[in-house]
Amino acid sequence: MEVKLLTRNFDRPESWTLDAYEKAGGYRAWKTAFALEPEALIQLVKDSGLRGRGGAGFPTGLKWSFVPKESSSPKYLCVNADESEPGTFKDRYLLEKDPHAVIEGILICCWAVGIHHAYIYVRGEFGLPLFRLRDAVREAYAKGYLGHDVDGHGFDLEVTVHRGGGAYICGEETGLIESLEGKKGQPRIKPPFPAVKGAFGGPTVVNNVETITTLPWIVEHGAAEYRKFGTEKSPGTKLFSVSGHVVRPGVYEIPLGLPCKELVYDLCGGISGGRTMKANIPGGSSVPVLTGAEAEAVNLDYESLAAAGTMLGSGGMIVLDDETCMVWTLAVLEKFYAHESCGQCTPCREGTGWLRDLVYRLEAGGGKSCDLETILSITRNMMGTTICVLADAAAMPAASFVQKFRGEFEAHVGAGHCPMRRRPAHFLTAAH
Amino acid sequence: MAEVTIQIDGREVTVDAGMNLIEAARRLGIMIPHFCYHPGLGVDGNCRMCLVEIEGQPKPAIACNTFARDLKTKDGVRPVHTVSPKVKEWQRAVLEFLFLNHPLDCPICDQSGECFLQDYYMANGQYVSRLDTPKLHKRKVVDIGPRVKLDAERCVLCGRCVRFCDAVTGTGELSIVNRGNRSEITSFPGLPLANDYSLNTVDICPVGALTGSEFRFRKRVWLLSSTQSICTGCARGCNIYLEHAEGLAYRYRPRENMEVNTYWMCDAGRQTFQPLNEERLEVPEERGKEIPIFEALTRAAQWVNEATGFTGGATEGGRFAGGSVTGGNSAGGNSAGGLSGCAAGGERDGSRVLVILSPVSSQETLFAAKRFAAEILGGAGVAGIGTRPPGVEDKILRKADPYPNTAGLALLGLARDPEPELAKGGRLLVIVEDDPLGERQRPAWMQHLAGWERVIYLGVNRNATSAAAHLALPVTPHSECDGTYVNFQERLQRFRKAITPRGDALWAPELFRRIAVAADPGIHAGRPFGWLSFNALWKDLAASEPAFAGTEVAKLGGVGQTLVTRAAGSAIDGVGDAAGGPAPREA
Ligand SMILES: Cc1cc2nc3c(=O)[nH]c(=O)nc-3n(C[C@H](O)[C@H](O)[C@H](O)COP(=O)(O)O)c2cc1C
Ligand code: SF4
Ligand code: SF4
Ligand code: SF4
Ligand code: FES
Repeated sequence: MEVKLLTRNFDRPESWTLDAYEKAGGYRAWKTAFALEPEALIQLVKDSGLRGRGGAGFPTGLKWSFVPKESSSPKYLCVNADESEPGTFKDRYLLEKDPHAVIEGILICCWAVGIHHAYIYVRGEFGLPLFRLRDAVREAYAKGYLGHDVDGHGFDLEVTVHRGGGAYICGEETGLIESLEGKKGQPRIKPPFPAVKGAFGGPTVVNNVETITTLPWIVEHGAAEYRKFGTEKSPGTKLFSVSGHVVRPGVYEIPLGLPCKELVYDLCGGISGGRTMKANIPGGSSVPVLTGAEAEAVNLDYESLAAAGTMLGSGGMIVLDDETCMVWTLAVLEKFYAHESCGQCTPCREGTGWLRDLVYRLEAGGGKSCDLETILSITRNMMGTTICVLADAAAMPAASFVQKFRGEFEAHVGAGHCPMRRRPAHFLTAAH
Repeated sequence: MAEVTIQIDGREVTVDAGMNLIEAARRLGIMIPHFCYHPGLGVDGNCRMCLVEIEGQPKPAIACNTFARDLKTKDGVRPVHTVSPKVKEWQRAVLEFLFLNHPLDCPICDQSGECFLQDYYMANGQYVSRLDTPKLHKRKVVDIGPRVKLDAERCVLCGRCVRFCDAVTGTGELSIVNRGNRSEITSFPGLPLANDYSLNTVDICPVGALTGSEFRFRKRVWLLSSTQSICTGCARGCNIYLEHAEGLAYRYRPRENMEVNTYWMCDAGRQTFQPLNEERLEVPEERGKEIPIFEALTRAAQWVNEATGFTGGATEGGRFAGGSVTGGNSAGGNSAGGLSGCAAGGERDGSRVLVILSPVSSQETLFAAKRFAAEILGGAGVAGIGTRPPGVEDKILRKADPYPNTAGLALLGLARDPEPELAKGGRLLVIVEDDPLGERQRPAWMQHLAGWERVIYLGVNRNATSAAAHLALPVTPHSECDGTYVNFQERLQRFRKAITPRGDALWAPELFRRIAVAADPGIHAGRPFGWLSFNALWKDLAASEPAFAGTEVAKLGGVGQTLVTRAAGSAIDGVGDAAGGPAPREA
């Protein structure tokens, strides 16, 4: 069962234009929001139960309330459009198909928190999403929805679209801020948290594109309406970007709590080629993997996934069929993390490279059985010991792959090569 | 700031609420291993070596970014553990990560022996290695600047060097480029690490990644002894460790003194140790010919007596046993004070004698020279200004004044240009440690020197002035004696004897005393040359010189102190006003 709150405009012709957006009732929620006192607006978002869609699932209204009302330095909003997590491609749809909804969400957030300058930090590799967003911002300025005295309401708001340089770590909120300030993108130690001291030293809200884009709907229909979707603790809808071995990969908006089975088998048309689901990474590459059986039994909401030992994350679901080599898959993932670690923290800088080397060696058949214990111990030493959670993000897949698919790893050691005979054309194997 | 009592490893300490756990633990003598934190550079939180366990917190916390106030909860203050089994395991893990791509070239590494990695491994690591993946290779022996070499493989990427160039010198030459384990320290193209403080990066680099080009491969550090000293490069008087072996100085390293130089010193200052080793005047020379010390002392005494018209004592060296002049400080015992024929020998006339001093000298040398001029040279003129050209001053440490003791010279009332008196010529000129004929100093004085019948030079090195003198006598530099300087803040700072004096070199006050005794055997029984030691001299100095009244040199400590009279002076004046003068309100 799909629902269309966030994706309501996706099918309209030229949905990304101001014209289409206004025809569909756009920029009305903003007027409703402006009629409310900021505190009431924050309360509304709190009541809706909206949680951050960037990965951590932090309650959005609560995050806003940490920002001091009075501040001697300017406050900022940073909209996180760095979407770089393998398997995650939902924000790009929002930017491509409904950029004005993002802008309207920004207006709502900035009014609630008292912000007069918002940045949208866009992943460096994005083309179309960036162009559509830029055009939309230009249109909104021209129409008076942005800039001085927004829409005649006596509220000023500047929006700057900032294109990143193409680094996963600039999606981490403080890495994003550093990069935005023109520095090398690497996370800051916390405390202080961005809500207290963020961009350019001012209190800063960092929110994911999807989080921001949900706001107009909530304002327009109210918290109670929103809560009609989803579960008690995970209200509302969520975009899932499904990739891998399914018949119809793509972005689906579902009410939270939907059985995973329904998403995979009904909406996505099941496993391609009539094969079976060996594994499922439900929330983007950083979350622990589920076996096919575990995935079939789980519901897609924060609590159920946590109970199953994994996370909802960004909603980037990767489905793997029974012909996939799990060692190879992990090798590819660990290569990504080793490449993307910013390199500040010792455990992450060295641990990601070490994991990658060990997993590649195993994949190529050169591993030893003790390597599995080493991998598990490396992951333990990486988790919870670093500045940001990229180290955890690299460790969690490694630990869960080895724990849940140990037999496959051992088979590689035993055979001295990949028994799945499904190897990537990779430099390590090519060297043989 | 509010204080908090916290508990570390079961011991309590009360500290400022804003103090971090590394510093708080230091107060208890507990050393929390760390790489990236440095008190002069602040918290960066990248190395993760300082992980500690805080009761009630499941995750490890970094001690550098945990402050005493953070431990407070409504139910009390959370205890901290730095050596618990969990902490040991975390530390072992971080060390293992650091060694993954480390080249393990300790046997040829200059840092060996003072390397944090080695120390922490010996303390916490010592596990069986399971590192069997190929190591990454990075650049080695890179001239990252004219005085510093980089070995990127040894680097733990703590960023201290980068932060030093950003925060202290503001020159920003260094940066970490690339990501992940390909990260590497580098200097910006066309901007080598050449700032005037670049060698501090070598000191703060916790490992052997940055080494001083000059010190590399010269000495194993565990063979060096370290002595508290003062840099003589300028009027700042940076506190340093003078590091030496087998009678040679090998390097200067900054020593923390928050009032003077904080944690740093300049590159130029570090190079000023060369004259301690090279071109030393080791043996007295008479017109360029080496002569025995006893002969030199007798000659000096004879010249002194002739120049001052003194007949009561010796007029020729032969009258005195050489032993009593050179050998014993304690010869005084048998030369009865009653032998005051000396006094009857007549007044000394110092009108044709001049003593030139220099702010390069220690306070003790200046004081002894002043006393010598007054008592033995018949009240001869004594003055000095230092003839070196001024250096370049900056906003960090360096002062333009290239001398360590200009303030000390002034406080004795001797800071005058001696040139007018010098130009007149006369019978005996005594130059103490100044080198006016040296390069870029006062070459014109060469003509003035010709107007003097005899020139005696007391100094550490052979130089243009020693060569021009009729008699050159070796004295000890600050590495070879105890002493003090007064820096530009009028802070009296102490340096300690590190090395046995070279050759015949004598502590200058002792040299003056021996010449005095040789010139007038009656004199050594008590004042004015009663001091045989540093402490005895200071008792005299503090009693005789108003600017130093009340100074207890034994209590100076490692970081020195602003002169008691100066610091207290205004307070005493204030009290006087209030007590003696009319009350301000009634006035
Ligand atoms: C390594 C790393 C990468 C991240 N990348 C993204 C990203 O691309 N987009 C995003 O919205 N959040 C990302 N996050 C999460 C952000 O740090 C932050 O929690 C989020 O933007 C907050 O927005 P939300 O509360 O609306 O979810 C990342 C976190 C980490 C540790
Ligand atoms: S955990 Fe990794 S990515 Fe995050 S700050 Fe540390 S080194 Fe950088
Ligand atoms: S060179 Fe030394 S000080 Fe600089 S980052 Fe590397 S280890 Fe740290
Ligand atoms: S600033 Fe002056 S005293 Fe300090 S190290 Fe440099 S020369 Fe020596
Ligand atoms: S000293 Fe605390 S993380 Fe480096």
